[in-house]
Amino acid sequence: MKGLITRQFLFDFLDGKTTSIQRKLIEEWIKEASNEEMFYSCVDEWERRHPQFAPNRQLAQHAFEQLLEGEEVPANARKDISDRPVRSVSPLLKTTSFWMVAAVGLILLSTFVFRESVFYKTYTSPADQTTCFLLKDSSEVQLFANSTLMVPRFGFGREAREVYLQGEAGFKITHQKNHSRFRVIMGDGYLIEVLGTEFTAFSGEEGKRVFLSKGKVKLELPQGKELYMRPGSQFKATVEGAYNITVPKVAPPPMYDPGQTFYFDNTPLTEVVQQIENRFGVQVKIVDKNLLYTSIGGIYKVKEAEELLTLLAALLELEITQKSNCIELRETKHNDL
Amino acid sequence: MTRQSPREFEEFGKPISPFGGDSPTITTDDERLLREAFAVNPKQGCSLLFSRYYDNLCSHAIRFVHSKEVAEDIVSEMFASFWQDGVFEHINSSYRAYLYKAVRHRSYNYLKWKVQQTDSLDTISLTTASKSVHPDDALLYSELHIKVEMIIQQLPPQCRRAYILKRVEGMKYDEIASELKISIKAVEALVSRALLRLRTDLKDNWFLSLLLVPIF
Repeated sequence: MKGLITRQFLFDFLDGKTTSIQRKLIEEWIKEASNEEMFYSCVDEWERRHPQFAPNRQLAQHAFEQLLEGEEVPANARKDISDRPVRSVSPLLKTTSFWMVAAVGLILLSTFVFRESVFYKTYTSPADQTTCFLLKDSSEVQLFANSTLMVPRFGFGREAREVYLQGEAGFKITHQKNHSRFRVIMGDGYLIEVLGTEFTAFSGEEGKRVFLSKGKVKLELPQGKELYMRPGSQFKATVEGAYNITVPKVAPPPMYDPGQTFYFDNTPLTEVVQQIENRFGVQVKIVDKNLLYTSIGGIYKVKEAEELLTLLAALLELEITQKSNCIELRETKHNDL
Repeated sequence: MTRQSPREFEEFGKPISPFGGDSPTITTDDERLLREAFAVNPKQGCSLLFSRYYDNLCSHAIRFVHSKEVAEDIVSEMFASFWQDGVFEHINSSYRAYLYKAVRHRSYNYLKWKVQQTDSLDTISLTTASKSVHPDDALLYSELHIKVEMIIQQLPPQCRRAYILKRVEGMKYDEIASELKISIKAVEALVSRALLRLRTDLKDNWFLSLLLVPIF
């Protein structure tokens, strides 16, 4: 009987195309636990081939992720605050001039106290996200996770464009007509000064790091030291102040990067592979033609191409082969019983 | 759909283990990585399962409940219970087999609950058929939706259209009337004709009639 029941046999059953005699066969066959597993595996594949409607998975998944994070807001969490007693207002507080004086005073005081946040706009990237934005001088900033960048709120001054960095960011600095310098203040006496370049900078508890991809960078170090960097070189300084410059073979990955987020919404595998290639710089080849028509959904957070491919392999029943120059994907062959 | 606590479905929701205590855990190889994900980080595991199976399970559920909204609710609630009640820790079949069984049972229970809407879900006594784990349970459920589909297919086109708009799309009678350009009365007649056909055609099968006859 083993050879009789194939996946196709079961698909026919699910399509209602089997005879009552064949059904009897399945009935006997399915008593075996491993066969029952195969049955549900077929049900799943069959449902994948015959979608009945397009559920709003994005919405449902979002709700589920919130539930996983325990963010469900209990219905009674919101408390009505309107039942507080209303206080009577003293005559002094009613006079307009008093309020004028109070307001001016408050503005001055808060400007002083919060001068940083008044004169600087603070950009922050959350723990699992990279934020990209343009500065007023058209320079591009890619702010990595858990990082903060403070940028002058009212535009850069004439002399120099200055920003404060905590965490890690990639910069593409535009060269200005007036050759104004761009300065990244990293704290602890470290400062990067450029005219127009591309580089990534890191400033955190682990020390400082600067990687220069293009152009020229002047680094100011504590105690008035200075040094210049060449494209492709990396500067690293420990918390104690020891530093070195190396030329890594590939651009170092971001320090704080918790992984790349891939978002797929019924995305064809070909496009998925394209994204993997672009983001991780690897070569991936889809060997089986059937796979070209497979599509996938979901949000995936991974650090390496391999990690994502392994997940895809588990979900789509793929086989991954690492070749010398590329990674090959092919379908797992089902051995029909 | 009224939201039910997952506990009400527990009797069905529990992983059914027809494999017996002495047989080793059944682990299909294609889920090995999912299992590893669960071992390291159950949240990520649940999230992966969700994105992998949500669409397919919804498609499966709608075959029974004939309503998009209810189908999505059933699958979402099943996943919620899967995480919140720690069901994922006690799966001794493959995740896939468990998820499909759970959705089937929940769909079935939903239908039963529709039957006795006056009672609360807790008080529904479970029929003997659903309590005992029948070896060919898996087949019966499949045959249930095949049979329903066949009946719907055999309906006259206009009758089928009205039924689908009413049940699956959840449209109101007057909306259907304007879409099909017929009177509301005619729509009502078409839908009840479809239901009557379902009832009479399903009566013969003990498993089907057991749960379906009073609904339609």
